[in-house]
Amino acid sequence: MHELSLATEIIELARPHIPKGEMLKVVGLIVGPLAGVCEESLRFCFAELVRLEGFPEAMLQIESAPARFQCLDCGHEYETVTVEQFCPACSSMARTMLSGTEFSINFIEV
Amino acid sequence: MCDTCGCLSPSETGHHHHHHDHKHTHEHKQIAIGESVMARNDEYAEKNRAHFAEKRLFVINLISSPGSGKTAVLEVLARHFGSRMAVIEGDIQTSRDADRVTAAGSAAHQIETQGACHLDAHSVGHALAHLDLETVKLIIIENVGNLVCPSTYDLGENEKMAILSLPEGDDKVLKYPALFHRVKTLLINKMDLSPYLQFDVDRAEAECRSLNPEVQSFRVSATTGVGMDALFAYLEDRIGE
Ligand SMILES: Nc1nc2c(ncn2[C@@H]2O[C@H](COP(=O)(O)OP(=O)(O)OP(=O)(O)O)[C@@H](O)[C@H]2O)c(=O)[nH]1
Ligand SMILES: [Mg+2]
Ligand SMILES: [Zn+2]
Repeated sequence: MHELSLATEIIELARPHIPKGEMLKVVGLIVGPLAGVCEESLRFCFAELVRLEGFPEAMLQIESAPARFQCLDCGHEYETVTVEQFCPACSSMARTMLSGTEFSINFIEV
Repeated sequence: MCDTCGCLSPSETGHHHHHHDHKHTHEHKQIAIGESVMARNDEYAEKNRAHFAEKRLFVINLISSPGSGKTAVLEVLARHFGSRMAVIEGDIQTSRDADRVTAAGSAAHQIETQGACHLDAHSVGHALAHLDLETVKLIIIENVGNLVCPSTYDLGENEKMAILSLPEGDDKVLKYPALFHRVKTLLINKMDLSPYLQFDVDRAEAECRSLNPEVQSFRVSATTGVGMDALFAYLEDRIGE
């Protein structure tokens, strides 16, 4: 789906950071559970694209960041990788999200 | 995964040309970046947002799965708002949705996405040039029917609005959290079908609040017009601001 556009963005954002004469080897991403990204198809699109773009060795290293919520009933802060996990202290569904939508390039390796 | 450098094996990536010798020292040099993957889209989105603010337009990015009733809701809104509303249609191919909105009384411009599953801020910026905004106070962008891809792309809108219709099932909110976390308004559409379907509206609304406590929900039917007065009032309020 949109992972091909995302893979293109990743390469375009990484490109100016690659020193002259070096090959892109790794792109390190941080992806939250609410980023709306399918890791598997992103890897697939990225692998195809780097071949066409002349970085045949480049790989994605994806760090899945958990989502952080704060319970609105008891104030407890908790981390979870699945949004179906509600407050572990009082099981309330009411909460605000503190983080979870991250989708960034953390580093590259050349 | 390789313990030394964290790179992935061919079977993990589907990449078959990886001749990485793991017995040797890695000579990878790491360069810190720390940039959002959406950075370029977000730049265009900020331009759009500044443009909307300058023209005093209230702009909604309308997202739902195919067939949940985006265009049907827009037809109802077009009959109410007429020339005060304009619509940008993201359609993969036909101009059918734009034609329906025009026939109902509001201007519409279509972006043919040529296969893309979402609109991006850049194409919306171009579409603006095609709309006569003289009388317009409200712009609604009908995104491509899809619950996943459009949610990541900020178009510069004031708010995202999602439609969830009864035939889709009441479990969809937590299955597509990236969208439902980002919406300000949730329309539960096709309420006229409730006698025939098992759809727990309270559950869907509660799950949406668990992702975003501020979400406002409207239970509507585009077919019968049920619940539309509350939506009109909400939008009149936004336009008035
Ligand atoms: N019973 C009932 N049917 C509805 C309602 N709203 C829309 N529909 C029907 O649902 C079908 C799809 O409606 P559309 O408005 O085309 O849906 P859409 O979300 O714009 O679809 P795409 O643009 O293709 O993604 C049509 O047959 C509509 O008549 C409603 O409130 N009740
Ligand atoms: Mg439509
Ligand atoms: Zn709690």
